[in-house]
Amino acid sequence: MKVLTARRAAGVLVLLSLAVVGSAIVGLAAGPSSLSPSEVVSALLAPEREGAAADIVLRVRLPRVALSLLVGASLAVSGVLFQALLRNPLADPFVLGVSGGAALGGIAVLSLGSAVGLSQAAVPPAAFAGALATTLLLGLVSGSRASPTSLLLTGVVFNAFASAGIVFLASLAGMNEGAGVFLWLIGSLSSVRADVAGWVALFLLAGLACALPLARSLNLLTLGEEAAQQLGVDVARVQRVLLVAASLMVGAAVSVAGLVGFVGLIIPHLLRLLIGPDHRLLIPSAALAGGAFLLLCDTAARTLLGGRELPVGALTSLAGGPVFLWLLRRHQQRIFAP
Amino acid sequence: MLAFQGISAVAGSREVLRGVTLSLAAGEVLTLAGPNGAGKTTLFRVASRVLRPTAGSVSLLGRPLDAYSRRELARVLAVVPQDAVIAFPFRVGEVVLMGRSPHLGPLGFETPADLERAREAMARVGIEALADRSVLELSGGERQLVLLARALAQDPRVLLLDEPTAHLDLRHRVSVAALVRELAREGRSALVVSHDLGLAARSGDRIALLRAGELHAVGAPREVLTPAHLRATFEVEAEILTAADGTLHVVPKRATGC
Repeated sequence: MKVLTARRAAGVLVLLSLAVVGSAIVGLAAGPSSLSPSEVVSALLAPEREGAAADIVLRVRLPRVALSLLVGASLAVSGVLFQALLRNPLADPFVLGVSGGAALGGIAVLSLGSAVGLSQAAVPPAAFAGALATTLLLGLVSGSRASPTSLLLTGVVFNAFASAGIVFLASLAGMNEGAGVFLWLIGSLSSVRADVAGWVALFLLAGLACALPLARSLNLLTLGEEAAQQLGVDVARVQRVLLVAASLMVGAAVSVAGLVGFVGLIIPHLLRLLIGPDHRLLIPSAALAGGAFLLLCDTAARTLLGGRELPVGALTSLAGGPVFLWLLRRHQQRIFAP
Repeated sequence: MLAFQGISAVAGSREVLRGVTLSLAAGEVLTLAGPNGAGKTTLFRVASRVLRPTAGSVSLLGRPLDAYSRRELARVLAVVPQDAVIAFPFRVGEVVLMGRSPHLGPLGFETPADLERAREAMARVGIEALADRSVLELSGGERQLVLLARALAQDPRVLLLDEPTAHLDLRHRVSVAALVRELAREGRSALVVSHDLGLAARSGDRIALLRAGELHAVGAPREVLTPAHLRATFEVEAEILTAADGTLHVVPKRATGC
């Protein structure tokens, strides 16, 4: 009988950690002035040494690499949580409109916050509030036993509403002249600021700290709410805690990167195919794999077009759209059956 | 073991159970029968504390149901639902192992003893060969056996089985009925919802007939399975035949009242 053991879990997590380190080295080495992996490693190991390479690695690229790891991890783990809570393999913060709600919260602070004395530091908490409000609204509108179809349709409407709201607020504040709004809507890591990394890390860690102890309960929840209760799970509490955890992570990701789509869909699915659906391993694996994935996408977005930069959200959505359709086709009969 | 005292319950806006008093002894197999919508599944939901009754009380092993924590309850009482939609590709062995969950600490992995319990449960139900299959690939009958094995892995004192043979072929119907008998010999009790009255008569100690949320009759199969009781609960004319080996067979003839 093949079951998850601590040894197998450790093995998978070590491999994925190596993938994170590898992709970080690639991300730190690649760019207009390309560095060798050994230059990257020596800059990391001896940060006090002066020099152009160390400067590029530590001051230019490292903050962006760190943030893409954090954002990718947050999106992938929140995807896992939404899929398990809603028992819907197509749920993803972007598809459900939760990312849109977070972006609306963030943009509200950016455009109107200065009038009421809020600084940019209020963007991550506002994005969290937006994500949480959208999650609650999603629950209210479609109910806890919503059909997958109505859930996804609600997400479509939320997304349209959020995009319109973002453009509206940005226009009010005169933000639409620059590329700022565009970058929020499509998702980009090009204007990251190192000072928000702490927030994002905090939100991600808080989310993971909530989710990991409940991973086995989440396995039981995928059998249905009643079955989970009959197996000893306090379903209402688990749902509450995990919805807050997922919203925290979405808020964190969106407040620095805008609407990066589909990471929460692609990574959990790929991982379920490779390592199985057990959340005790899936949650930490999604954090590592999601981070590595977004980092590699962002590195490609920075370097593919030479001097010009692609928003990373364009790449993830280009990859994620077809994956979503493939999943929809694969699951149509099973999850959309009456 | 399990005692319902004057249970009334509401599902949606409809009163589904009205003053049901029924008790299940240790080592007893009690079959609950009645027309669709009579409240059988609702009684299970009350017993597993998924639904709170509007009146009455339930006691389990001499303690009020409300005195149990969810995990405590899951260690002594297991439910086998009619069917389950499992959203992700868990393996059969993993789903059976989930039955060990109420016995585990909040963190960490199952011990070799838990694995052994799960293997034993699969062996008793006869699904060892399915252990590494994805639950998404199973037939309805196979899924039902997996849910039964999961309940056995829980190692409960009381089992609630909701039409455990509904999706099963003839051979598995007989073997599941025999397994339930065997569990009763171990001192466990089983409350079984079934539409198969013949099987209930052969494998159950008592039969309870539920009609429109009320207990109509309860007793030994020979006392309960009479044309008069079946007419009153199911609105059918039925003939009760006794086979050469003394077993009862219910032959429904035609519906009355329509």
